[in-house]
Amino acid sequence: MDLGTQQHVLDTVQRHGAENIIVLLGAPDPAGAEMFALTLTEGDPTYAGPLAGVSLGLRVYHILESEVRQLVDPAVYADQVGIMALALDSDAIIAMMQHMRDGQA
Amino acid sequence: MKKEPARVIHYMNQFFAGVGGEEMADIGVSFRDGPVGPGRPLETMLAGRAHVVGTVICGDNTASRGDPETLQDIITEIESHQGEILVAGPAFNAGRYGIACGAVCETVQQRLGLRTFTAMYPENPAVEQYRRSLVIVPTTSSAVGMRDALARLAVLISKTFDGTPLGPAREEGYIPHGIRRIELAQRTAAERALALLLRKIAGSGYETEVPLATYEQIVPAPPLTKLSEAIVGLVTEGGLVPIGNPDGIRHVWAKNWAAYDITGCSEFAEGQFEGVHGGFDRTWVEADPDRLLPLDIIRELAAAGIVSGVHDEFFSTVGNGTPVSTCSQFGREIAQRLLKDKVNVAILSAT
Amino acid sequence: MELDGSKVIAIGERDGIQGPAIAECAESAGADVVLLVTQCFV
Repeated sequence: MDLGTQQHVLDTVQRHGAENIIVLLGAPDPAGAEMFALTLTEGDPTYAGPLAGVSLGLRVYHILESEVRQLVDPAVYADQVGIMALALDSDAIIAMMQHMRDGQA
Repeated sequence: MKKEPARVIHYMNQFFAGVGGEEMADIGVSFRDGPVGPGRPLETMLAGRAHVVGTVICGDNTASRGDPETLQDIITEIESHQGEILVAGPAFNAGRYGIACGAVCETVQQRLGLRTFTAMYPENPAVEQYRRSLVIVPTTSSAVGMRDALARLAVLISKTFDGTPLGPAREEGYIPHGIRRIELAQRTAAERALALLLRKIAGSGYETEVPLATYEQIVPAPPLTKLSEAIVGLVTEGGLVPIGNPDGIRHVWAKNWAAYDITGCSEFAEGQFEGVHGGFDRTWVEADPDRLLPLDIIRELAAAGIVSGVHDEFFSTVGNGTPVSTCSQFGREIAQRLLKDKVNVAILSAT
Repeated sequence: MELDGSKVIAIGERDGIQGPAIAECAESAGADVVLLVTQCFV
């Protein structure tokens, strides 16, 4: 996650409180999803940015996960996400997200 | 007698130092006291036996070019801060960063005689270039493996900070140097080969004495549908260069490629080019370079409208003993140049 | 996990699903989007 975004996330969490926030990701592959999820829970794994060593412990989901999709208006989801869900390796991304959350438990 | 903790200098690029991303890749050399970014967990892992006393930062573009002034600036920072050990990276799969780490470590080893350690993904192009002379710890492809890479580096630094030499790569966990030492075996090759075969048949696991290189499958580009729309770029690994070899392309294990202007030339003029490839007899190519790159024929085809045109530069390097990873990098760079100039077909003459 | 009434940070990617698309989905589910980002990687 680039350094500017890390700072924005930090500012937003400080303003609203981590327990009140859910993060939704749109990463195109499992490796990207893993990087973001780690950064938002345990801290920046590269130790390069403002979230280095900062464990926000946020709840993180990917927009492709069924837990998210079933809460969204179907017409909006089809319009905004629809085709990308087929173009991306959804199964692999979802599996990575579940693996990340299992590790958190 | 209590030994003083070793003084470690950490080299890193603009991104990991928190300066910025790609837009900051041209920054020059700077120094900060103490550990920066990933240097902080490294400091913790060194557990007091060594300290990251300072961090040298440089942009990836600047450092990977290997300019003597840049390398000298880095040397000066390390010397003036009494560095005893250099750690560079980890660079993971970042090509320019890997090359920068390799160049910096090698220069520091040669000029200051210091022990150096770096870390990167085994398929980073820099590994092939530098593994013979450097200790390179293998890492994951992405920076997700940062903690693990730092932990391995910390172990190696701690083992050797008092001057103890490192053991073989396989035991210590770094990428093998690929240096062959001659040893006398107890058994003949025939006996050893049979022993391996019997283990293989029994399924009890065996390790070959001679690992063979594997090559990746390259997916070819889709074919051109209309030859009349072809804009042809000429590329050779046969080392054709203007007389005097102005870009110093080596006759073996080339370190660079170059582009030369052929605007308006209907063929390669005699006496203006020479061959620098060390792997074949260049007499016939030097007598008529169109034998190596068919500029004359392509011009005729363009004049007849069979192809659309010819790119006004040709690209040259030497493929003799040049590692696959280097050639892949050259290929990507040349392809980018060709694509930028709207060339849609390339002819590569290999020797 | 409830989106209705929650605060959402939407981190999209240019080559994946982009920030505004995620935000539209989240808002349609009743969430309040407090940060919207689209990452681009070279």
